[in-house]
Amino acid sequence: MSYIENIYVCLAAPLLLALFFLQPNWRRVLLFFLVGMTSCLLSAYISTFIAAYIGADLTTAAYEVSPIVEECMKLLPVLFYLMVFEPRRKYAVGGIQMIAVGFATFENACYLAGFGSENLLALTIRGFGTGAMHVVCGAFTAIGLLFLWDRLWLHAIGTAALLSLSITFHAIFNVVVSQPGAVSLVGSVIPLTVIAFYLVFVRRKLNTIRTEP
Amino acid sequence: MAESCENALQITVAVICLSVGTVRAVRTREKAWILLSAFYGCWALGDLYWGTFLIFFQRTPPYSYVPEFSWYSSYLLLFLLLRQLLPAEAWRIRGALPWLGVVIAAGMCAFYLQWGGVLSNLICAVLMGLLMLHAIRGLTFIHGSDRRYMPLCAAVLLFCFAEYATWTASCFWYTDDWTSPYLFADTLITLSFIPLLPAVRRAVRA
Repeated sequence: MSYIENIYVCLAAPLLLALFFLQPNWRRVLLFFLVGMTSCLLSAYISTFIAAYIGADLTTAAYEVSPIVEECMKLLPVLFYLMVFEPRRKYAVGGIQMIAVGFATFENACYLAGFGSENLLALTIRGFGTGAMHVVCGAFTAIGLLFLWDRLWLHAIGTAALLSLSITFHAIFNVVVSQPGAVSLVGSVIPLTVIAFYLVFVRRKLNTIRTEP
Repeated sequence: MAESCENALQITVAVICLSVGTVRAVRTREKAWILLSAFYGCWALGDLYWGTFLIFFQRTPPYSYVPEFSWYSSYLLLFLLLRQLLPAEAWRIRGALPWLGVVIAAGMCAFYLQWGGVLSNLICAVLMGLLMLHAIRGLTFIHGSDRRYMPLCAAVLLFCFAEYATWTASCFWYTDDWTSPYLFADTLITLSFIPLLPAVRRAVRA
């Protein structure tokens, strides 16, 4: 059994201290990273509670409950940031991605504590796969929140729709990477392929939109 | 076996349509293409999750929240697509005819309550009612000389009809063989994806 709150305290303490000595831009990045880690911690608690409530076993919870809770928990701090601080788009996109990265990092740290760190190849695949999956899901949400709609009710509906897209993507990833052998490898490669597609075909187009205020 | 083949066909068609939509979205940077691609993506991912579960665990997902969210989202995205493309005049159309969509959705919801859960039926009814209401409004709007939105509204109505045909067939004739009406209706959903592409292209050009 892993005590994830202990892991969280151990990882978050130096980051928290560093916040006091950094310049505002660096501080913002680090704060988003910490918020991502905190979201991951809270997601684990909420997923466990919901799984117990509906009577789901551990495996079913990982496929059917965790993706929903995790994606919603990643979205909440972003919504808070957007509504309270009304940042410019480029800061919001960066914030969403750093929350996703913090989330993935803490999830990987908990995985290491639970399953050991002997197999470098498997951990490399997992590290890149999980990281890419969270970044891709964050990107879906960012597109919905920042680029597509101009009215509040459209924002709400559209973001809910794209949140569901990221939930399903996350759930399929969880199902596939939990399988033994080559299937797991294929599962980890899928989000990396999506990122590669984005870098090659979409980034240049989106950058032109990002330059808008 | 027959249902698995049909599911595979549906995923394939949705992914092909998604690819076409994504290429057009990247080239044109039109929101309509992004919305249509997201619609195909949501539908394909919902199907894929269902299929993945069947392949790896030989059973359907025990709670099925994830694919249902995905399919509901695809209805929402189709609604947003109509909202994006139809002109403001079409949204202000009064009259009884568009409300026929809401009446059909409410009636079918009451009928399906015999089999399904209350919440999921209500969500479906609201979303399908919205879709049909605005698709019929679009059709009524183009009744004059301007017919550029007609294919889009007709394609959305065809999709809604195919959905209702599938749900109704699953209530009475749900069998896993090639002669099952359920499979025919599900194939109709698959086919209804295709006309959306030229319809959106025509509406975007307008």
